[in-house]
Order: sequence, then structure tokens, then C-alpha cells
Amino acid sequence: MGALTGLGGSAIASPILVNYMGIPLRVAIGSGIIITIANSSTSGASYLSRGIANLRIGYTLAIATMLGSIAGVLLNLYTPTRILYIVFGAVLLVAPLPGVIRGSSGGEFVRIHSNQDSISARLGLRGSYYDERRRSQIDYQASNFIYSFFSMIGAGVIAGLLGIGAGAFKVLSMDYIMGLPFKVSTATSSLVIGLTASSGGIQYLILGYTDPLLVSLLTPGVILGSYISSRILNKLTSRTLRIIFTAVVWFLAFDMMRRGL
Amino acid sequence: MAGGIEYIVYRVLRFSIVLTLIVIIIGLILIMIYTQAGLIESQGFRGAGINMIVDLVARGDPRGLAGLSVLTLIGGVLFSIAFAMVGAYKVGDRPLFIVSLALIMIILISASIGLYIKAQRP
Repeated sequence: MGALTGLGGSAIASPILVNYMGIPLRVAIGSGIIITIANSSTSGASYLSRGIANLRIGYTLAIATMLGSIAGVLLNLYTPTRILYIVFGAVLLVAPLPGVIRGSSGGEFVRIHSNQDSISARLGLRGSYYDERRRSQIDYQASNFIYSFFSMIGAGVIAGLLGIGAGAFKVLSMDYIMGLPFKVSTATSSLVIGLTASSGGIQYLILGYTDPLLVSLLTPGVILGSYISSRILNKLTSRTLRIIFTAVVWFLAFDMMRRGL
Repeated sequence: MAGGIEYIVYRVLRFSIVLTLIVIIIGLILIMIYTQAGLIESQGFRGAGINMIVDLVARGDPRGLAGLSVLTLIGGVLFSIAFAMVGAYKVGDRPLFIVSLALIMIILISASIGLYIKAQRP
């Protein structure tokens, strides 16, 4: 589910651990961020091998998300648990909105940018992929690098704060601001999620908020799920992704907010 | 199939996932055997920092393998960036080399901040 939507598995797993298994929120966050790495490494690797994820764009934007993630972890340590519940719920509530808005406009591409900015051009942020559904090669190029970079710092803060992939926000940045195709944004986001989670996860691990046994029990399922979903992403319509995404995430969001209020 | 550096990163990530799964499966089987024999307690071990994981592995406690799986996941990402950096250096891809180097440095800075905060705590 997390890989399919580009959100990262722990956005689904952490609320379930907290609400239905009695795991303390910070332990769920600290363990969830590690599970996110497993999810991302599986799906990100798969997308890379098939040329959908763009390594260069992913790595460049990961600088922003990783710096944001460090700030997010620090913010987590000094935020009351009740506030964390509410913020977690609010983020899950907002996360599907870009997809819903895109759905109402009906477009696969929100904005195609014909001109690259100088930084994107110098970094070579462009590429192409074969879309199985359209049966054609799609060329694309990134633009608005600075705006995307700063929005990615925000996505990184959310990822570090809540131990989630925050892929929806990363997809939003790559899709709306950089003008990348949705499937490239989703696939590249999967790769960036793991990088972001590594910088935050290592802090949670050192600070003792990770339960390795919990991670071990959940990781095989996450890896299997993300492998299957990354295999079917290119064959699905974006609308299918949004419907699955919205229903489950909103249900979990209300559950988390209820605990904080 | 994607090109050179992407393929290297793909291989490293895939290897780390396979290694993680092997470590987890062996660890869980051993934990079940040890728990049934009454040698260890079955509950999770929250607060397991890197020191504790190394200590558990050194003492032959199977729970250390669960901790090791966490390290292989983070290590996999770290190595994939390192391999991308080396690949970029070899083909003369300067932007990707600099970006990869920056990513490794950020992870090291993150770990340092974690260690600093831990040292400040009572």
C-alpha cells in the first residue's frame, strides 16, 4: 500500500501499531521509519531497474528531505505526545488531497514544463521512461528546482517528525512544482523515502526509540507488499491509486486524531 | 533495464533487502527456539541502540540478529549511495558525485547529532 501510493509503509503501519496493538507512539515512529527503509529499498530498487525512478532527481532532492528529516526528529523529541497524535492524524488527512484534486481535474500531468531552470539543466534533471499503459516512451524534464528543493525540506521535516515516508508531499513537489509525470514522481519518491528515512532512522535507533524485534516481524510483510505493488504500479491508472490511497489513509487519520483530542 | 549507476544502486539495494530477509528469518527462528527453551524472554527490546545490538550479537543472543537486520537496512542505503558516488566518479559525472557525497555526509551528521543528544541525556 505504501509503495503503491508513494507514501511509505509506515504511514499505514504506525497508526495500526499504535491504535490496535498498543505500541507507544514514539516506538511506533522509531520502528516505522526503519520499516519505511525496507519498503523504499524494495520498491525503489524495482522502479530503478525498470527506469521509472530517476536516480539523479531523487538523490538531488534527497539532500533537502534528509536535512528536513534531521530537523523533524529533533522536533519530535521536544513535542508532547498528544500533539504528535494530532499532527500525525492531520498529516494523514491532508496527504491524499493532492491526489483528489488531481482526480477532479482529470489530468495525468498537472503541468508540463517546457523550459528548464538553470540549476535543473546543469544537474541534468531530465529523463524518459516507457509507460506500459500508454505503450509509448515518455520524455520529461524537471524545472523550478529551488521551489521544489525548499518544499522537499518541509516533506523531510514531516517524515522525520512522524517516522513516515511522507511520499505524498514529495510526489506533490515533484509533480506540481517540478512538472514530472505522476508515475516518475511516485517511483522517484519511493527511492527518496528510503534516503530520508535513513537519516532520521539512524537518530531514532541511536536514541533508543526503535524496537528491532518489531521491525523484524513487520519487515518481511512490508517487503513482500512493496515488491508486489511496485510490479503493478506501471499497469494501474493513477485514479486507481488515489481511490485506494484516500479510503485507507483517512480512516487511519481520524483514528489517530481521536487519540490526541 | 536502467543504465550503469542506476543498475549498481539497484543491485546494492536488492542485496541489502535479501540479506535483511535472511538475517530476519534466521533471527526469528532462533528467537523462537531460544524462547521455548527458556533461554531468553520473548518480548521486544525497545531502546536497543547500536551498542546493545553489537553486545547481543557478541553474546550470541538471537535478538541481536533482529537488531542486525535494522543495521543492514540502513547500511544498504548507505552503501548504495557510496556505490553511486564511486560510479559517478568513474564515469566523470561530477554533479552526481557531489550530490552522493553530500548525502553520505548528511547521514554521518545525523548520526553525530543522535550521539550528541544521547550523550546529553541523563
